[in-house]
Amino acid sequence: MTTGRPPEPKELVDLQEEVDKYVEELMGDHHPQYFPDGKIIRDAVLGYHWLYSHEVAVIDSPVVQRLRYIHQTALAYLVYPSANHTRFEHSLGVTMLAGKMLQAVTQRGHHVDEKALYEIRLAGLLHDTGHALFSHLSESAIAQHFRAELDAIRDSGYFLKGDVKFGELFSYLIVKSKTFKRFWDEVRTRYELDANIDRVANLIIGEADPYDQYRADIISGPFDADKLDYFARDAHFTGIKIELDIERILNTITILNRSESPRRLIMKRSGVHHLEQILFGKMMLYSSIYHHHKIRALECMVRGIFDTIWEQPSDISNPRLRFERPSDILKVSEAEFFVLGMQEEKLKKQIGNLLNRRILKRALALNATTMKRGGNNIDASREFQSLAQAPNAAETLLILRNMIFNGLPKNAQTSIADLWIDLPRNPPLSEDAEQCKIEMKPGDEPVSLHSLFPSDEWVAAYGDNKWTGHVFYVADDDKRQRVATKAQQVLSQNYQIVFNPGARETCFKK
Amino acid sequence: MVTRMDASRQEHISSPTYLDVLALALAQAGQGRFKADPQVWNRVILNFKERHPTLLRGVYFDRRDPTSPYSEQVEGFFRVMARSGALSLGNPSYQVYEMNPQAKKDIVEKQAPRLQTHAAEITELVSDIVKELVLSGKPVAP
Repeated sequence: MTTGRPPEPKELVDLQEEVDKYVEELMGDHHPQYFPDGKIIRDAVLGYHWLYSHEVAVIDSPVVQRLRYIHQTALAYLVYPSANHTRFEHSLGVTMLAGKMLQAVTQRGHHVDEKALYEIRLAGLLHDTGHALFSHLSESAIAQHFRAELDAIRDSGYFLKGDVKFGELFSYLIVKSKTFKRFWDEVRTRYELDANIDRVANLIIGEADPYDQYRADIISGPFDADKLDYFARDAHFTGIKIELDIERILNTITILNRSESPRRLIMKRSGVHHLEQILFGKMMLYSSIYHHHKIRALECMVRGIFDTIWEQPSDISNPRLRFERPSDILKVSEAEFFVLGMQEEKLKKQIGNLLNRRILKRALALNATTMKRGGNNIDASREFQSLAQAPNAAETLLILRNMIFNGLPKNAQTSIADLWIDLPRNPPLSEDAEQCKIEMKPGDEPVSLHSLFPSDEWVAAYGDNKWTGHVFYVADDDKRQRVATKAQQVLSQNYQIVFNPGARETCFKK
Repeated sequence: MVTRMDASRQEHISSPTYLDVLALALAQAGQGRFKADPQVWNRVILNFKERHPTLLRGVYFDRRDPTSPYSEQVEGFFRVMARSGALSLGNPSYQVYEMNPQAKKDIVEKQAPRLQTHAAEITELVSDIVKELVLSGKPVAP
């Protein structure tokens, strides 16, 4: 196994240059204000929260303020009207929880100095600064479009985490940018702080010195402050009732001390059922929010807009909307995307559909109750769930979409951007459970949560009972019926599937 | 009508993915019984990927704990294999993966010709798996 960090790949160096320019423009001549005292804020989910003076100065910077205009759950507010929470309050929540997690570890006898507390809270505050409009929607769109660059960075082995995402990568690069460092130096001098901004950037990407790896795990680990906050926040603002005993979780975390490997954040055995509660709640969030068919349709619509842009960028008059480089995604807010997009001949119909909530509708439902293969109704559904996991899923689905679209009568064809085969990925419970390490007895080798309870069986049960893929198309019943017919034919031919009437009835019920 | 996007992706879609490479290696290794030890699987596959990075493009490893590298994609591969019925945890203590003999045959028939140009590298992976993960005996028929 290779040890030591390889050199920065060229793609990362280029991206840093782009981000440097972006942050320079964004920050302009912004300098930190002086706050003699900290501030107390009241958060709807986590309650009262004390912020240090230097944190208030950072919060007031354009890099953090821009997060006020990025919805945490993208367009879910078009389905759950109160899901208007943003990356801004989520970042404040992660700041608070990261600090509490570190303090909880301290209470277990692991000494942590004030500098570490400042750094970890700053990492929580800045961990999402690289997110862009519509959160994970734009992230996955650019990951697909600029896959070669992202793959080169991942394959370089420069980041120990391996599978880095654009959002965290940009957050890391923003914090490491020349302008932000200049700003931080001013903050640090003014408040006489001893906190290292490079270490903050590393925490964001999940890395720390091996002795301090647990600090990175608090920001980017299997049960990190980020997950605890978004989990509680998404449930609260959608109105979905889920129990999450954060205080209890804080009381059961500790550090794994082994001489030969990094000190990792682990959970004591007494915390196991709270982790199970998280995983169970996560399934609820998936079935109610992230896999809700209307939310999935909205995601397809946004993806369709990006596809239209990248199909022929020269047709887009405003260069800001062409997204020719990955970092261009950071430069347009959700509001600007709507306003500027409505001025583009090529985009105004698609964007108008989003603004006026004309959501694509279901033409066909794909699940274990609506289709069979070889007399087995689970087999067909599992085939599509596997396809959703495949690295070339987007390409395969695009080819199938084109087969359906091109087989429609001309008067039923609107645009390929209206026709989607959406196969959601099952909740990543097994990955989470495999990575969660549990201390059964102090001093013993920890075991994975996966070995203590059957997360695979939960995922399988979710897949067989709750998972549903869809074919989406425009609302017009006649056109949608034609798509349903053609989709049945294409999918039957390619996957040897037999559909039952429920596949359509679910979608056309009066 | 095939869009420009399609045209550029046709070649990619026809090329095998890491899922096919791993499935073929498993199907060619031993008689279909393997240790179900994620740590060893991750280490063996990481070592192979370091020697042949392009063949496992899309598989990434978390190496923050160098003693225990972990890949979501490797985890996902085993889940896909289990969901399709090709692989199961086959003894009461769940320490052994067993490959369905029919699936083993089907995978070799389908994937070996597609991956013909990479046969030498895959043989290398098969040999690593045999060395560290294959168990003696045949899978117990379901």
